[in-house]
Amino acid sequence: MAEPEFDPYGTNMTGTTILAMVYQDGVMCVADTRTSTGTFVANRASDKIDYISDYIVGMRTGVSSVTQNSIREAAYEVEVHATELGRLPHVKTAVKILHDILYKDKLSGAFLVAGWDPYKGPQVFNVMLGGASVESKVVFAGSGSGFMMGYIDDHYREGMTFAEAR
Amino acid sequence: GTMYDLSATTFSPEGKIFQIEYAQKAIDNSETVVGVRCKDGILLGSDKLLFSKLLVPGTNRRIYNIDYSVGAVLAGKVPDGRALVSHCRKEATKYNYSFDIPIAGRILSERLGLFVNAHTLYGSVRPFGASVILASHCPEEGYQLHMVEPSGQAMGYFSCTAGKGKQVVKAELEKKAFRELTCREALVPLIKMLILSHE
Repeated sequence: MAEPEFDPYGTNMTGTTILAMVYQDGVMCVADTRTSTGTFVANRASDKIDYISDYIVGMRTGVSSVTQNSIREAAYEVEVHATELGRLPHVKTAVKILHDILYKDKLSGAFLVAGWDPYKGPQVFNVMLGGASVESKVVFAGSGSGFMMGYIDDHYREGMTFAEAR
Repeated sequence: GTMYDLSATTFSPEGKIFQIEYAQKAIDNSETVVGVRCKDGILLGSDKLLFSKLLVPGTNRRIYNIDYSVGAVLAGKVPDGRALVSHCRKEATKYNYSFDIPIAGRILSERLGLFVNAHTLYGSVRPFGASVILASHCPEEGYQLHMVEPSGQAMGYFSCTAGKGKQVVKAELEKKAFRELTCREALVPLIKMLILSHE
């Protein structure tokens, strides 16, 4: 009989399901709240949606210490940039900044960045594990996202209202 | 001034730094350059003398590309100006790389101003003997014109000029409303101004 895999010094991971989509009035972000260390649930009420700037959020998957830190660093750099710029940052700028933080040290994390800017409106991006970032209308990530894929494929349409998107 | 002009690290009793003023003098004795913001773009012009028949025409340029969306014309000493252009290019491309957006003229000129100002703070370097007039365009802010002077001052202009004939050109610029003209319409009057400043 095989022993279930247990890693006593395991790093906190977010065994996650997260999703973001563009709908009629903006972007909608959804995340579960479980943080796990191996099979142990370390935090059952974690907030995986983090602030990057006033109109941009990031959702984390991967090793918690890495992702929390990366998001904070990204929020800091976006703020400095936006202050110098004197206006709201592009969502793609936040994505680029986050990407560079991950890619520089080849960190283990993947993010969904969702937000609104006055230049292109609501956008969602998937910043994937290797570093690639893709813009899309719906993005989902995390170990639980496979289950979402089928449902989304069937039910997503562009320009849904808030009620429909829920 | 007598002993207050030996170094850029010394203020005069009137609050001036003479070395910076002398750097400005170097520009005032150079060829005239002008930048004008028109309705649909920016015109940069330079009065460049071929002082010898042995020179290849078109050599020793004063007008440079900084970036896909930024151009510059140099006033004053061309070698000093080229060092500034080189810095601008690095700054603009690095900005685009970091933030995925083209650098706004306002931001580039302020950063160049910081760079130029840094060369007026120490005894081991000398101020730049050149001004840079930056023409830029970005989707959010449109066409912009900025000039950075040896003191590090960076200001936005509708039209600006520097060099030998700057008083003449300035007077002409104030007379004509270039803001309402297209670049094509403004080209000939601008060239006429530069020729006029020659006299």
